[in-house]
Amino acid sequence: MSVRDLVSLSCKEIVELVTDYRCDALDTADRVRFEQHLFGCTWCMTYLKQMDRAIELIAQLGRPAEPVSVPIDTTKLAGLFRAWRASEGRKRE
Amino acid sequence: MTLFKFLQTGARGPLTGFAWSANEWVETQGPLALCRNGAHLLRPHDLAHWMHEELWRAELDGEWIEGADCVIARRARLTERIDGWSGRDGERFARACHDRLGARLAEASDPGLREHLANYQWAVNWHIERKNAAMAGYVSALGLAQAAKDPIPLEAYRRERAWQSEWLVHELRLA
Amino acid sequence: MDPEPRSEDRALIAALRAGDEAAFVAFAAMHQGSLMRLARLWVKNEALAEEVVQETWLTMLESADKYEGRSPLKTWLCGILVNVARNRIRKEGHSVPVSSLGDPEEPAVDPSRFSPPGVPWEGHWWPPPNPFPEGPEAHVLNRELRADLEEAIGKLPPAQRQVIVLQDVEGFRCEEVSEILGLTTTNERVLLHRARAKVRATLERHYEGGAS
Repeated sequence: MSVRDLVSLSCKEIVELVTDYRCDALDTADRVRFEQHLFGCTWCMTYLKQMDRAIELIAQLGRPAEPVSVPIDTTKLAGLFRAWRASEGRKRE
Repeated sequence: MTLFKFLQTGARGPLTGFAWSANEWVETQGPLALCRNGAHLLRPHDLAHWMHEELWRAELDGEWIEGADCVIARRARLTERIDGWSGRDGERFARACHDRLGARLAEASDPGLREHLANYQWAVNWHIERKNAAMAGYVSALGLAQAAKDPIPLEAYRRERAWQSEWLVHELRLA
Repeated sequence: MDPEPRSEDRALIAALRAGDEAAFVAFAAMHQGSLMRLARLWVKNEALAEEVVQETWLTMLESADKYEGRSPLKTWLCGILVNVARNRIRKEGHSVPVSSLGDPEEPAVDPSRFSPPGVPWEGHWWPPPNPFPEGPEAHVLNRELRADLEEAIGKLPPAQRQVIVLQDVEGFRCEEVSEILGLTTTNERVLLHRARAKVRATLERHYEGGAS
């Protein structure tokens, strides 16, 4: 779709561009048209803000709500490392 | 240069949430880049493309480059809020847009076109009731552009926006 | 994600190759949680995820001399995990459909939210969307919202789920996610777009009390 062919992007088209906009993948001309639409169209601005809120909240899923119930088993990790070193040693022989 | 800025309520940038304060200089680091880096300011003929909740006078200092319907500046500050835009003058603008649709409707004979324009008038009125002058402007520009006989509606749309900018400059005594 | 400290990444690799067990354990402990989360995008239980992650660590150690520092260590590591997970799935005979982008016509927002063709107001929001609530609490996940969002992400098609977790939960950039999953950046953005749109819709339903 060439943005420049349209009068101005309709809301239905704008919402399909928000991810490209946030990933900085729109070329300058499309970016300008996108931003101009948002200034004039409160509703699409609302949609962008809703999308940003969704992303902000999803990011928090990576931080556990409660302390990790099963602590990381560092002995297991150490064992893995030693086994690897041992096999490396055998390869060198 | 006479310059302006549209912001959301509370003098915040709508896209960035950046909080501006009257008379405080804001400086951008790094190379100025269209759409990406620098303070975004409007010359009088740029206004209609960027309408939003609050209208402010602004000034720049130092390096600036030409943007798309704007200028991009190294340093900028807001100087004075144009209160009328958020109140009575915003409403007058929206009604002017409504009347412009009405004028076009008066000269239209094709029933489909008349319905189109009437629908857009209704929509503009809906925004007037909700005191959203920016939306009223956007909707009327869209409606009139689609009603125009231009092969490329974008040109008609930009003509409408140019008319709107002139209206703002003249009626709000901005220049 | 700061792409710059490649020197730190290379220093770690050098330490591992020199036999620095403490460096490995510290690094692995730091990333174990997120690798487990990622592994669960491909395998169906914790035990299998643990096996995938163990194998990932081993593979990382075995190919340590192949790390060139072209991308950050964590990106490289996740790429290894994805291969391990996919091989595991293939071996066990659970063939996940080849990364499909979903219905090619699928728009991000339900078309009924906009006025239809033939109406002069066509293509514009109708009725308009309502802003989400503001205020400090609105920016923090509460228990109920966490459950809703986790459920929504869990229901995504696998490719969309992988992209949104890598990008929006784990914080990788578009190019890194594309590299990890073996996608073009364009396809990656399409998947991300659809995944985010569904989560946004979930959030909207949450705030509007279940009305869709």
